[in-house]
Amino acid sequence: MFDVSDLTVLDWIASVAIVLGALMSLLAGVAVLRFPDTMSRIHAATKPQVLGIMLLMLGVGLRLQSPAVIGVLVLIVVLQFVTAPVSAHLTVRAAYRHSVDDEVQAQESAAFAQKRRAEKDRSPAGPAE
Amino acid sequence: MTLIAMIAGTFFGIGALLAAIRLVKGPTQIDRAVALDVLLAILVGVIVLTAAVSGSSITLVIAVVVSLLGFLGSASLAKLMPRDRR
Repeated sequence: MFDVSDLTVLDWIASVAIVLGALMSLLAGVAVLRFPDTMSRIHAATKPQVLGIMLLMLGVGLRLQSPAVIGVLVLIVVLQFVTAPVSAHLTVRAAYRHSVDDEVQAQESAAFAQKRRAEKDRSPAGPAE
Repeated sequence: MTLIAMIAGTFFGIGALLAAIRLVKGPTQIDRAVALDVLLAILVGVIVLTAAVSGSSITLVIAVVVSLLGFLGSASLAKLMPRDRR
């Protein structure tokens, strides 16, 4: 049923490309689960969207060699190339603004606590009237 | 091609499982959006792999639609991210 000697060179290239593209998805899954913060997760998550899709399309295009199929595959690759950096940028910007909000809030609350402590030190007998 | 499909399908399955775990756990909404992006990229990969195995090109149109939906989803999630952080 399955004989390795039947495969041509193009079949070998297509198989290697498909397995590499699937490996990109596996790596993205591992990285999204294991990486410590949001920025590095986004960095790893864009790998299957561009490189993985490109390798898979290469494999499928080498397997189904017809012009209409290759047109659709090129369309998918071009759409991914245009949209993946934009969506990653939007997501990173939202994450960055949220982290900046967190820092500002932490600084404000720390400054508020320091001010309260200074007021308490200035009037040790009791609260100021 | 069957062996290749099994290997690639295993990779896709494990990757989707790990991304789904992050989708459930994710401490912030942005982490969940990223995990959804990865899941949609894996979905496009599975659809394309189906086309490669069956030798028919009819499912490739679905891959176009799903890749565009992934962009729309993550862009609108990033744009409409709620201001509370958890």
